[in-house]
Amino acid sequence: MTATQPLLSSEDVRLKLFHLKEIPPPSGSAQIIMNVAADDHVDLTKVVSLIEKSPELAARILKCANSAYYGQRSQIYSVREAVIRVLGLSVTKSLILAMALCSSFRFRPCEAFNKELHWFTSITTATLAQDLSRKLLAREKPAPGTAYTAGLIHNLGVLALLQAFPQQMEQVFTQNSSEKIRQAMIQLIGIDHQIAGGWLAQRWGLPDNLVCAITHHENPSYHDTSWPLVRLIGLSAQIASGLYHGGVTKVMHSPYIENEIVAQEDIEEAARRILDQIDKLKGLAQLLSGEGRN
Amino acid sequence: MKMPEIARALGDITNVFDEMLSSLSTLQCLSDLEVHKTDEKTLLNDALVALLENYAIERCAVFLCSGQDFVKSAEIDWHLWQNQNKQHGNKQSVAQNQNNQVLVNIENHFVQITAESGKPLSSPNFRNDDQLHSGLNTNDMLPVGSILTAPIRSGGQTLGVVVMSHSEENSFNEWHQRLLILYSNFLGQILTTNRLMKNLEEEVRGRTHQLEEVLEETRHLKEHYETLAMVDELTGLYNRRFFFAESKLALSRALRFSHSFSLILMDIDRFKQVNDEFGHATGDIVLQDAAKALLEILRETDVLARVGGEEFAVVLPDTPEDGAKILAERLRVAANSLTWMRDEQTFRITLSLGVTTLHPPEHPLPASYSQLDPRVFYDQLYMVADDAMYSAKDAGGNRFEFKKPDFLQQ
Repeated sequence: MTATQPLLSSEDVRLKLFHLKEIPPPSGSAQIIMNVAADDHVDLTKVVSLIEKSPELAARILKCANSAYYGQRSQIYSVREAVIRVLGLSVTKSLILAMALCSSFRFRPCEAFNKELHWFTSITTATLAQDLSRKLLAREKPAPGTAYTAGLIHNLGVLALLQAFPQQMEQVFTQNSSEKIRQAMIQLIGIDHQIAGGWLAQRWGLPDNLVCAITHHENPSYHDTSWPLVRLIGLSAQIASGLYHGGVTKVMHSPYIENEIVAQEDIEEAARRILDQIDKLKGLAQLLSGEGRN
Repeated sequence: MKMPEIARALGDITNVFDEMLSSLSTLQCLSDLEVHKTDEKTLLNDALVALLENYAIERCAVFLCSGQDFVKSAEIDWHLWQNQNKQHGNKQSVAQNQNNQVLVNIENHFVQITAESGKPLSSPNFRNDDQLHSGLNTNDMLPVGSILTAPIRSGGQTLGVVVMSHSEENSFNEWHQRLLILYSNFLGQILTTNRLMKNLEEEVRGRTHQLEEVLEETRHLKEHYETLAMVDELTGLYNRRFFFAESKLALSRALRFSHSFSLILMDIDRFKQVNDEFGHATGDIVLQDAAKALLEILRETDVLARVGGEEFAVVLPDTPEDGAKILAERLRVAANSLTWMRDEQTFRITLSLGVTTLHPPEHPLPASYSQLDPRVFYDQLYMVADDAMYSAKDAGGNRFEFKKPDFLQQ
């Protein structure tokens, strides 16, 4: 680390995020997205499940669906709802096609960032959160769909900062632990990915509980509004990261697992279900998060 | 067309889609405002929040016409608003505070120009816009990179000006310009409707108050006239109209509850002589004194009235024949005991009284009762009493005569 002061003023950072309208998906996934989006006969489920595998697409679709114009009485929490109830197949396909096309022509300098890990964590956190939402030891359980979305986009801030501050983030990701990475972000940019993601999600009009989950998921003693969802996402993210690095044993020895919101055996069971398909997930991660060659 | 160009074109179209979605969302929020219920300040604030939430505007304000000036009536700043909304613990930067006065000057300047021209105004690169700097102290660091205004017009009048500004240059595109015109038109309509509603409400409130006053006055008058309508002004006794209404009611009660009912009519004998000899003023005094004397004899439930010039009548509910006769005699004596002095001579009056009593009817009522209309029934009874009174007069006056209501064939 060379700099000891943030290189940017907080105004700069916020203005940069203020103008951020979308985050392009990794160009590696562009071809897959284009194939789905350009297919006239593709069915809705396929489009929904594709978007549910991409934090970038999901955030964009939710942003659109939560626009006041569509006049939904309640906020839209899941991709499925957004596509089926609000946007419709045609608008959805056009939106993701445009995002995929644009992403193929964007230069991405950030080499240090582990895209595969990020993608794997997002999808696995989403899956775990959805799975465990039913097992939550809290009176108010978040809907499984909401839990999935929150898990999928909980690290929206990382993507946003990569998009807005690629050079600084290049430096940030030379660090080797999540806490050091966080400190580097604060040093170089002035805010961490949680706050950045929360700002962006709010700016994009995403539902409040998703904003909370993005902003606070790394705080294991969070007590405020939507705390069951926030802590569920924190827990799921922790397990997801453990699974990527070393499997169930590693997960079970994580200090975070001593939580009060889900029973130990439920966690083990959910983790095993992920482990059963971990090779497939890692393969998908490679495929969807990689940079394409065109 | 090559792939990059298609990608760019699609990207442009997506941007247009986004801009349109934001514009429509802003207008959607405006259309959702509760124009009829809210006050102007809340309305303006909500309208600005709609602009800020749906459209990436850093700062916006509404200036409203107030006499000769335009006064800032609402403003909202994305940075401060975001902080207020979600307390992330970020402090407002000091630089922004220092910039405030400069910002106010710039905004006022633009508002003046816009209000005078009545046209939207745009300065995409304000820091280099020398023409628009005139009149401003430009030594300070300018906090505004780009600024956009539009007049709020309604019915040919400029109600105010909307100002959007951004610290960066070239922040506003053609969509912002188009939206702001639409937005300020909408706002004009909203303000006008709100003001009309408010005026209407005030007028209705004023009128309602007036009406209530008139109503109150009417109620007083009504009470006054009701008393007047019941009372004979000279004697203070009930008048003929009230007497008939009241005695008919008393009769129906007697019939319904099987009580006896008596009626006494009385006339001052040769009253014309009193008037002729001592004048009408004395006649009036005689009537007043007689009324008072008669009233003293009666019970509270009896209704005494002056039913003609020198003619009185009294209804005696729940009073049988014997009681009525006793009372008639006492009334005769009471009137006869009064004395008056005129022209050094004393004079008295006498009464002729006609009494009739309806005995408690049997139950069920005999056919002869039910065939009669209660009003006709009463009139018949009155005629019987009248008949009895004339018999008394014919017999020389100063007496009572009793007569049975023989029309019922009792």
